[in-house]
Amino acid sequence: MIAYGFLPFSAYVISDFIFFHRNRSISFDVLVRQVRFTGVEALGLVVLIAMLIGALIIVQGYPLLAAIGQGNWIYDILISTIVRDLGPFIVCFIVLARSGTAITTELGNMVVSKEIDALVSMGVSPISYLVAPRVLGMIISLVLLMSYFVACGIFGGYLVSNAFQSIPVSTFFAKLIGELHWLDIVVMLVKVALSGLFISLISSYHGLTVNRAITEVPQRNIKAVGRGLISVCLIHVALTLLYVILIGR
Amino acid sequence: MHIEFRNISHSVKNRAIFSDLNAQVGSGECLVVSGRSGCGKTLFFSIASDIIRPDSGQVVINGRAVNQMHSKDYAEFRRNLGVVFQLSGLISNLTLEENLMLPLNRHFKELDKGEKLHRINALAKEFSLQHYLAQRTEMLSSGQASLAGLARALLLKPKAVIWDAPMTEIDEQWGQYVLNLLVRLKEQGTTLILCSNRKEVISQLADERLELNEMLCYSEL
Repeated sequence: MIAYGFLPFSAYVISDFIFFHRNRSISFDVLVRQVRFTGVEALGLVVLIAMLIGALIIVQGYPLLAAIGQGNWIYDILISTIVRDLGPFIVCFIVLARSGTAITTELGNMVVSKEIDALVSMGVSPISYLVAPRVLGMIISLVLLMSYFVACGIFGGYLVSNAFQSIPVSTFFAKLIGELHWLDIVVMLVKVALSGLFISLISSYHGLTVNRAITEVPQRNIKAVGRGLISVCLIHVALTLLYVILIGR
Repeated sequence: MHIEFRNISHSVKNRAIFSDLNAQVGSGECLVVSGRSGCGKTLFFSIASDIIRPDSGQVVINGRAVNQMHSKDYAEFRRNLGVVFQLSGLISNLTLEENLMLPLNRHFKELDKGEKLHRINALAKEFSLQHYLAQRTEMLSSGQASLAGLARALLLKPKAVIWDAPMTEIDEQWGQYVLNLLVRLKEQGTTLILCSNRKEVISQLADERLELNEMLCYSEL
């Protein structure tokens, strides 16, 4: 399937993970491992970055907005950065740099050490066993990470906003939710889910296209990161444009 | 299991490695494939174990071409074929037990976990690997990894075993044990295809021999 190119490979993987339950006897452990590596072990990094960004937005934005008498706009800015635009992009970038490269390296090394051939010889499909659970795990993990990012980013923003003006928690969150549109959540979820799909497909494809030499692994990694980043950017730009068209601003 | 190679031709990067190659081996027989380094023994191993499909020609199992088998028959073929790689081919991020569990989970979903573990423990004990079951396979020595690769191939009680460069990593004592084991398997009706130049393998096991022609390996198309 690899020899036919990226699109047939992707179509095959997607059709395989739709019927994931059929292969769960061998694939479920791989799915759990992927979610643990991408969605749980990256938690510390995501929490730290989210809180710092939430805090930075308030530190930079609140004094300026307050100076022109528009302090309430800070909620709108928090939503557009943490929930809708910057947040999903940062989370996808962290996952691409951390888990996408790990997938390409792992699969590339498995090709070189004939582990993929060994799976084929046992009648285990490398797509069902290695790729489909990673794709599914990546999508689940990105949604989980994005949830942590939103929670921590907004909490970080709240903590710092208290330094400028004491606001009760209930008031802060009531105003924030008042500014939140359901489409913000939908756009955020679609962005991270689609990015997760593309990052995992691109990383797996480039890992499996390693041929024989271990020196091909870093070369494939560079290509995977480059193409993954372009895909993530295109997905984010397209969905942001769609959001602007739908919401009318 | 009767395995026949019909008019196999295969080239790599415009170099003909095999041209109209024919060979066959029946149940309880051993085909030893030999030849100098680089003449295509590992390529033959890959074609025989259907990891690579030849450019033309067919591998025929019990009268049925592998490339024309339906998925159910193909799964049956895979279950009955034990493949042992030169470098073990163990999955490095799994423990030895998980490695051995993988083919059982693939082909014997209905078997309960206790029975699977019983089979794994028995085979691990046979190869003195029982203390390494919980360890990742990268912790094993090359000889132990080779034995573990053999154990994994034998776990499903295959009707044919294909082994690339058997016993190259195994010490003399284990080498003799494995040789006796292969003789025993042959007597029980298992088909063996061994890609090896080792004299003891050829003298004690070979019923059929296939000497790969070095000149053909390097002839330009």
